[in-house]
Amino acid sequence: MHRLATSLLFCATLLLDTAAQADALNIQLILSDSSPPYQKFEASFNKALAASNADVIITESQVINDAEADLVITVGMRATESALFKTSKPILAVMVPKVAFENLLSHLSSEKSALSISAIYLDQPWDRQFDLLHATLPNRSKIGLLYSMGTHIDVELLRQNIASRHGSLVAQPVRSADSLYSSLENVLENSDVLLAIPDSAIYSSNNIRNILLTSYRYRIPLIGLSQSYVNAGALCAIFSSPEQLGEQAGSAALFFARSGQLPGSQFPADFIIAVNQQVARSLEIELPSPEVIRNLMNKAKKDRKNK
Amino acid sequence: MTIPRLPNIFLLIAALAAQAVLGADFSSEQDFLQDFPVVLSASRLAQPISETPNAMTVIDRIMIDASGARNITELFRLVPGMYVGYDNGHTPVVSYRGSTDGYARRMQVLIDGRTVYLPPYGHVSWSELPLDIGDIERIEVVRGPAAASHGSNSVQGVINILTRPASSIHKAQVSVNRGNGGISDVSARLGGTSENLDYRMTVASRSDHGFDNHWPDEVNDDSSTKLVNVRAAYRPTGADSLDFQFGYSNSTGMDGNNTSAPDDWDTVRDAKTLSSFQQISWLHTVHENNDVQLSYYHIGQNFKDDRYAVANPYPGGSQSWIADDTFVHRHEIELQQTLNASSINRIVWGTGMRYDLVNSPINLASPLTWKEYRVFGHDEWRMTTDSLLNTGAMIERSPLGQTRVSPRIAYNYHLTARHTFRASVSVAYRNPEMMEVFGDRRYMLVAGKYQEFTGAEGLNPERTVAREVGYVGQLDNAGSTLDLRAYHDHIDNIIWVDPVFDASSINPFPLSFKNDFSATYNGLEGTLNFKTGEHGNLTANYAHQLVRADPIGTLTLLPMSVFYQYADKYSKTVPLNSASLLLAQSFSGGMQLGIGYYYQDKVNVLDRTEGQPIMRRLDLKLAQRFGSSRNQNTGTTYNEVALVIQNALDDNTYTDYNPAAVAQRRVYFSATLSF
Repeated sequence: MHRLATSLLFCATLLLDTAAQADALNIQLILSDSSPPYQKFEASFNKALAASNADVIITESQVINDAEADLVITVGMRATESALFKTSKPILAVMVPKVAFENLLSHLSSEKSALSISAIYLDQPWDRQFDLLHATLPNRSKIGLLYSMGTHIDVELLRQNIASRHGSLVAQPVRSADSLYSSLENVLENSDVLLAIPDSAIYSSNNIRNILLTSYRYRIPLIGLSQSYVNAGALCAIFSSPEQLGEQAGSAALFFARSGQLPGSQFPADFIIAVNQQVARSLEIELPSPEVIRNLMNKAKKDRKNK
Repeated sequence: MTIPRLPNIFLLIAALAAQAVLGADFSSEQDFLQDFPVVLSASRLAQPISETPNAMTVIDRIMIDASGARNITELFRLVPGMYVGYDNGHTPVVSYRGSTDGYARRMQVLIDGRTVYLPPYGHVSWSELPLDIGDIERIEVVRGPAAASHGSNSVQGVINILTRPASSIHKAQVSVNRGNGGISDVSARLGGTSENLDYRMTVASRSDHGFDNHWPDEVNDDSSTKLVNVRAAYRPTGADSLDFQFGYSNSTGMDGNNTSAPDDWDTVRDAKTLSSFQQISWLHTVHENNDVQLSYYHIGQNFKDDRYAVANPYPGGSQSWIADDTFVHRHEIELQQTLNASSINRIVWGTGMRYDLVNSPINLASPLTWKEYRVFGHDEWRMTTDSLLNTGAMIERSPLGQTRVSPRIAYNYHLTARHTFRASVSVAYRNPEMMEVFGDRRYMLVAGKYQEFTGAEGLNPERTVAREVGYVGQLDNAGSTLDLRAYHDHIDNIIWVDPVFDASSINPFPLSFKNDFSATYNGLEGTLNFKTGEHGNLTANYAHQLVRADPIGTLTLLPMSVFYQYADKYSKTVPLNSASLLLAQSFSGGMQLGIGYYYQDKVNVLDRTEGQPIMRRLDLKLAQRFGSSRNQNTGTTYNEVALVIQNALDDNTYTDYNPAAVAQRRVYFSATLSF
């Protein structure tokens, strides 16, 4: 009797399990790295889907089981790059910079580019960055920018964008490591805020000290790209945390589960506003609180939509 | 503590040259996720002027360039209420609130935290400092007592000179000045930055013929200074940075007169000064709200003013050799912590010790060693969003074994973000100088001993109680500011001379010292900093000062009537009105204009019989910058040719502290090339 019951239970479990596998959405999660940001993303993503009660199975692995996967979610550029050549399933790339992601796509062969692929970027849209600038430093319109020769930021497009907002862009290329500081001085001399961009040749941990100290000597604030920038001495930054991106990726996965299609590539929906009040005070900048900055930014966004 | 070895400059240059052209690898998410060290940590963030407990004047690089000044001391005319005079071309007198004599003893003078106010007289050897004016980043002058934050002798104010950081020079630069009055200066600087090491070094030489003279007076004051100044910053980890500095200078200053009076010791000669310093500071950032800094420095000065007195005229008459030598060594160590204890409380506290050794057989009976210990603390408490309370104190144990407390309290109220009112009260002490206590300056002449000064043991320190109200306002979005203040300072126990009798001296009445006066200073000061368009700045300073002094006790020999005359004369030691104007304007195309105008009412320094008449001085500088960075104002690498006219109106009524000296128009050309 006891044996029979055990067998029945086993069969039932097997049946149920097979049924689940047949219906559930199989998501393969591939992390570029096991460091905390990726771990945090994963935890938040899992939590978002668990909370939705959706029928989803998430497998975190470095190896793609293409036969079983319905959707591949790659976290970071390294995972995205490698997945492109290992799967034919739809890919959602998250925590990737827009420029890097688009560059990767442009290098795909034609058969690969037929893949269904979409992204949730890590960087913030320019409009949002300008809204931040306007909310925090309304009287500063000369925006300084340093870029290395390898930067894939369209400086001219940015210049037009800033001009349309009645500002001016003071952009200075940095051609070699030797010329970083003379370029920096040139920019600081002629601008009233310095905007950091994702450019590892300039904003590296080796250079950040002298960039921050020099801009502080010129009394020009730096707008950073992360909490780490703000801790180091940047005036403020907007950025999306891995947790926020995990939630957004969760929503995208649910959308896929419902429609079988990935949403279009998108910027982060949620973001954090970090400010360094000590730096603001020392530079005699009257910086509003993050809540006030957010309200001002929301209002600017609304006004833009209504136009 | 040992002095660190210098980085190998050649290796460094090679490493920098080997760096490849920058081309970013494709941006990955790491640009957003990377960790940075804390750079602008608590101790690096200065209080804004609207929140400081004292009034403060800042002289920045643009002002320094526009002023056309060749010497650091000339810049202090841009501080309201600051007296700048010259005993001769290489002996300036810089003193806040007029001057009682050639030594300005009531001010702390710091260069990157190093106090250069030296024993035995308590003076600053301005002309002999191993520092080129081109290496100054900015000068902050605290107007008012600030012992709680700047140490002892910050009685009337603090001059805080900050030199360019090691990372600020990226190219080689050579600069030359040539002009009348023997003006001939050359400086060369070089610097580089790399991953964890920055350095800059300067070699400079400065010389001129000093002042002209009122015939038949004589002023022999040709001088020259050659110097080396090096600064390096090394960062072993993201949380630690080490700052090394050293400097050396070799100066010659002519002094004395052509005299034939037997035994006259003030004969023409070249005094030689060798100055050096070594400094190391270790800044450890525990986290962004907690910095600990340990610093040590040594200053060495070797002053030799040796000469023969005039020979006695009788046949075979002998003459005396005067070995006027002073050797000074100062060692100081300080530990300081800056802590943002909470979002509304910032604390700076620390402890330090200073060791001074002076060997000067002509001035002191035996070598003297003085030790001074101090503990200080300062708290900035943001009571509400609009108000700030700065409280602080220094407790020091003076070399004479007295323990003193110098407290300060200041309340700043932001009426709006742009308008701030400040009220403060502070107490500070000036400890007597070595010469005042143990001085024994005498010359052994053919006719016998000539006693000039005799110290007086038992002197009390001078004590200041300062009260002030101030206003700091921002006038427009461009950053124009107005700074006003009214003050009432009372100084007790002012130490000054007291002639005494000495039968063993051929000068039977040498000067000793005594707590002679108590004095009350009242005044108004204002600074307007006005932005004239995008690249122009006008600074206007005005000071109105009054002082009255009362005698304390009696003089040893002189009758009360003479003492009252001294006290009466004291009221003339400050100019009633003084003002300065500096326009710094740059034009597109790289042309730059600097106009400085300085006015000072009559002053009669206490130890001078002749007063100094009204001073009016106009300085002009016209410069043309060229090359790719011609439109840079504050950058460190530029190419420039300039014409500077000092005292352009050739106002011959403008004399200095020494009535024999007359400052005539000086014109010099300068050329600066960067490569």
